[in-house]
Amino acid sequence: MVDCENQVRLSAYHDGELLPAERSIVEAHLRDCPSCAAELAAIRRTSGAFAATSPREPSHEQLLQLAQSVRAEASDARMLLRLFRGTAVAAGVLLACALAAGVYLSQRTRAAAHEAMVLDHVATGSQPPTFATDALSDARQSEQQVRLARWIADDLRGRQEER
Amino acid sequence: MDEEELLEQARRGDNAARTELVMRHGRRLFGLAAALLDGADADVSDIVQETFLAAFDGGLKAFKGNASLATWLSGVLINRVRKLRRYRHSRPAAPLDAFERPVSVASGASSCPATEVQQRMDVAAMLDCLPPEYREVIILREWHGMSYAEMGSALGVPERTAETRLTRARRMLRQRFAGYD
Repeated sequence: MVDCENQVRLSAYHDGELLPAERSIVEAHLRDCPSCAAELAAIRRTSGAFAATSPREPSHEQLLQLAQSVRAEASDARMLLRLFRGTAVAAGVLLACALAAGVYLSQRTRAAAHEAMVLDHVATGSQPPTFATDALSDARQSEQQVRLARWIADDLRGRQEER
Repeated sequence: MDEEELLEQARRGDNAARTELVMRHGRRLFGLAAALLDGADADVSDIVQETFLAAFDGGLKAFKGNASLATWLSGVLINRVRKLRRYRHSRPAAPLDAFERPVSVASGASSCPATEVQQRMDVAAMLDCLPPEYREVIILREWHGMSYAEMGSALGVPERTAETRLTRARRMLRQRFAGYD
């Protein structure tokens, strides 16, 4: 069935949204246009399906619960809760930053101590200690420093053996 | 009491006014949220609660009295549902090719659904196949009996846009449920 250009006003006709003059024009057209008549019948069937049902409704208890939840004191409590949550989040962020800074400074200190110890062993010609690879030595800077110290120690030891 | 006055009292913290407004509009808003979300009661209750709180806590200035309070509250609720939908990305618009062929429910429906349960299932299937913006107009028109002007106000679009969406929504339903009787 070919769609008719007048179909665009059929919803408005069905819903009573047209002016009387427009209604008359649509009604006259419907008498001569099977396509629009079929479309209008389909609209009526769909509307009928909705009219035969109704949206889900809350129980009386749900409605009372809803009324309770929007009381003024409940609003104040919610505002306080939101404020508390905001403060807790800010405190958490600050704590995380402080921990990160502490870990970073600790790594720097340990790396400097390791370097000094290795250089000391190199200077005295003794075997440098093996470094424990604990969690803190995962930091890139610390690892680079340890590798450099080992390379220096191995190189010096090799030269001594060549002599 | 005039609803605008009631809303003003509710905004000032008058719990009796708040309860009165919930009793007047809560049932309808709950039904609207349930139809739009098709979700669990918890989601629906949360959305309705947020809608009332938005109206009570600071939304009064936004209510200029151009629309009825019912229409305005519907609009607030629809915006909240849209935000929730965007947040979840859980209900993408159905692809257009989904509307090309009639589906099985149409043939089942054509055998004249006798029970209300069957009718309810058919209507749920109809709503389910519509993209959100078309679902909104169908619900507002068919279940809430809103005029095109009221739909436009609730949806935040021109009246003509509301009409166009409704026409398209009905066309989609006709194509998908061709045999519905």
